[in-house]
Amino acid sequence: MKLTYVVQRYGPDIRGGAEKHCREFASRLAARGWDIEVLTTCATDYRTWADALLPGTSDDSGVRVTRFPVIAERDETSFDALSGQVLADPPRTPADVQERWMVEQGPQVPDLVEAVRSEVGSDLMVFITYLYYTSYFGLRAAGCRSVLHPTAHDEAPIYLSMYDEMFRRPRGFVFYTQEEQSFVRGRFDIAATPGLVAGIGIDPPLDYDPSRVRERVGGHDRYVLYLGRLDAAKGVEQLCSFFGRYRERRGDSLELLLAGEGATPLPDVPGVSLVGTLSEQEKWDALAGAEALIHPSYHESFAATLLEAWSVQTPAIVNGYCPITVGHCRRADGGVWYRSYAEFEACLDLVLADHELRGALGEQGRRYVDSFYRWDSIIDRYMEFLEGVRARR
Amino acid sequence: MARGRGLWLFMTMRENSRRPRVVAGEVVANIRDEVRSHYRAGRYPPEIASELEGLYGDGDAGPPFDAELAALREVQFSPEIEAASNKRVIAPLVAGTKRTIRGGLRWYTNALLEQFETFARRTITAVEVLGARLDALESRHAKATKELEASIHDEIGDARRKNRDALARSDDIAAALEDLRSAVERLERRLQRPNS
Repeated sequence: MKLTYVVQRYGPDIRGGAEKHCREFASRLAARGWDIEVLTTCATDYRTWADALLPGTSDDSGVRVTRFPVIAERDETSFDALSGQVLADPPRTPADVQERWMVEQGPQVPDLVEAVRSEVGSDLMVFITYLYYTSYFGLRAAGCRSVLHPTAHDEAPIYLSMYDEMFRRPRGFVFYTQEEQSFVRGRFDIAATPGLVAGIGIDPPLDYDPSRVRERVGGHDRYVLYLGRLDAAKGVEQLCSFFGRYRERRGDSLELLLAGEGATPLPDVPGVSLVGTLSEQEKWDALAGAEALIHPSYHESFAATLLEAWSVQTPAIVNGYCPITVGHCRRADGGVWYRSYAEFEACLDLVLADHELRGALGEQGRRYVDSFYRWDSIIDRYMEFLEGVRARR
Repeated sequence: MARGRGLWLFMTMRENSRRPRVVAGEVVANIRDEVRSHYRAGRYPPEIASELEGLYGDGDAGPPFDAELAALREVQFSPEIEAASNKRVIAPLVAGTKRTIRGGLRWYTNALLEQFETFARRTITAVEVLGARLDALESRHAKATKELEASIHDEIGDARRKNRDALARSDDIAAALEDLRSAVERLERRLQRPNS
C-alpha cells in the first residue's frame, strides 16, 4: 500500500496533538513496510505559519517528507477581525466570505495542493484535521481516494456551511473517540461513509521514577498534576482558583504542578507551581509521582494525557462538563469528575484520603489503556480499515 | 468531608469480572449525594453554596435532573430485535424468516439506527443546554431573591432606626416642653403671691 498523508505541520519537534499523532501513524506504518509519504508545510508555528524549515524532500523515521513554503503568513489582526464576523453566525456567513476566511486562516500552500492533484501513485491520501487550508483545498484536489481524520469537536468553525461539501468527499473517516464520531455524524450527512474509531496509542514508558521529577521541580512530597497548554480555554485559571480555595479551606500542604507552556498569565496562588515544559522522561516521572492528574478542560478531541496518566496507574479528576474526558473515565472507571468547587473539593478529598480507591482507579485505567490504546492493536485495525477503503474505491 | 469512606462502599461486581470493580459513575454519584446533603444542611459558606444553587437547589422539585439525564445517555439502540416466535408448530419457520429479514435489512436498520443515535445525541445535548440555562436562571433567581431579602431587611432596619430616632427626639421635645411648662407654672405662682 502506498499512502500519502497531508498535514499542516510535521516533524519531531511539533507539539500539536493532531500533528504528533499523524507522525505516529506514518512512522509506524512505514515500519510495517507500507510506502509512506507526507506532504506538509515549512511552518512550525500554527499562529503565523511562518516558514521555519527548509522546503524539499527529506527522510524522517523511514517516512518521505516533502515540505512546501507558505506563500503568505497569517495576519493575526485581520484574521481575528474576520473570524469575529464569520463565526458570529457560521451557517449564515456567505460562501465567498467563508472561503476568504479559510484562505486567511491558512496555511496558504497552493504548491502542496498542486502536489496532491498531481500525485497519482498513492492508493490513498489521508488528510489530518478538518479545519485548515491543507485539508479544505487538498480534499478537492485528491479525487476519490481520500480519508480524513477530522480531529473535530463542537466548536464554531465546524458549523460553517463550506465544510458540508468538504465532508462529502472522503471515502473513509478515522476518529479519535466515539464521542467525536457521534458528533461528526450528527453534524454531517456521512452515515454511508465507513468510519473507524481508532484512538491514539499510548506506549508505556520503560521506566519511571517520581523522585527524579522531585529533584527537577523542587521537593514536592504530595502533588497533583496538570499537564498541557496553560491557557484559559483549557480551564487552567479555574483550576488555579479551585486549588487555591482548597488549600485555604483544608490547610493542606498539597501542591499543584502546572506543566506546559502558554501565553495567558496565571494568578499567583499559594501551592501552585509552574514547572515549564517537561521532557518525555520527566513527563512520565511526574505522572507516576502524582496523587492524581487533574484535567480541567471543557473541550477536548482526545485527551491523551489522561491515558498517559493511566498508563502509570495514576487516577484522574476531570471536568464534568467535558464529554470526552468523562466518557473515558466512565468507560475506564479510572477517574472521577466535578461540576463545581464543592464537587472538586469532595473528589480531591476522596482520592487523597482513600489509598485503595486511588490504586483501584489507576489500575482500572491502566487496563483500559492496555485493552484499547496500545499502538500495535491500533495499527492492526487501522491497516485493515484502510485496506477496506482502498478495496471499495 | 469525604475522608474515611471505605472503598467497598463503591465497589460493585460487574458481569464477567472475577474481582470487584470500582465503578466511577457510582463514586461520582456518592460524591454528589454527599455534597447535596452538606449543601442542604447549610454547611458551605455562601460563596460555595451559591455555586450549587443550580446543581442542587429546589431538590424537592422531582427526580434529580442529572440522574434522569444519565439514564437518557445510557439508552442503547440495537438492530438485534428478538426473532423468536410463540406460534405453535411453525415457530422455527417464523423465527427463521424473521432472522433472515433482520439480516437482509441490516444495512437499512443500521443506517436508521445511526440517524436515531444522532437524533438522540443532539436531543441530549439540547436538554443539557436547557438544563445549564435553567441552572443559570435558578442561580440568578436565588441570588436576586437573597439580594432583595437583604435589601428589604436593611430598609426595614433603617426605617425602624429612623423611627426610633424620631420617637427619641419627640420624647426629648416632650420632656423639654414639660420642663418649660413647669417653669411657666412656677413663674405664675411666684407672680400671684402678693409682696413676695
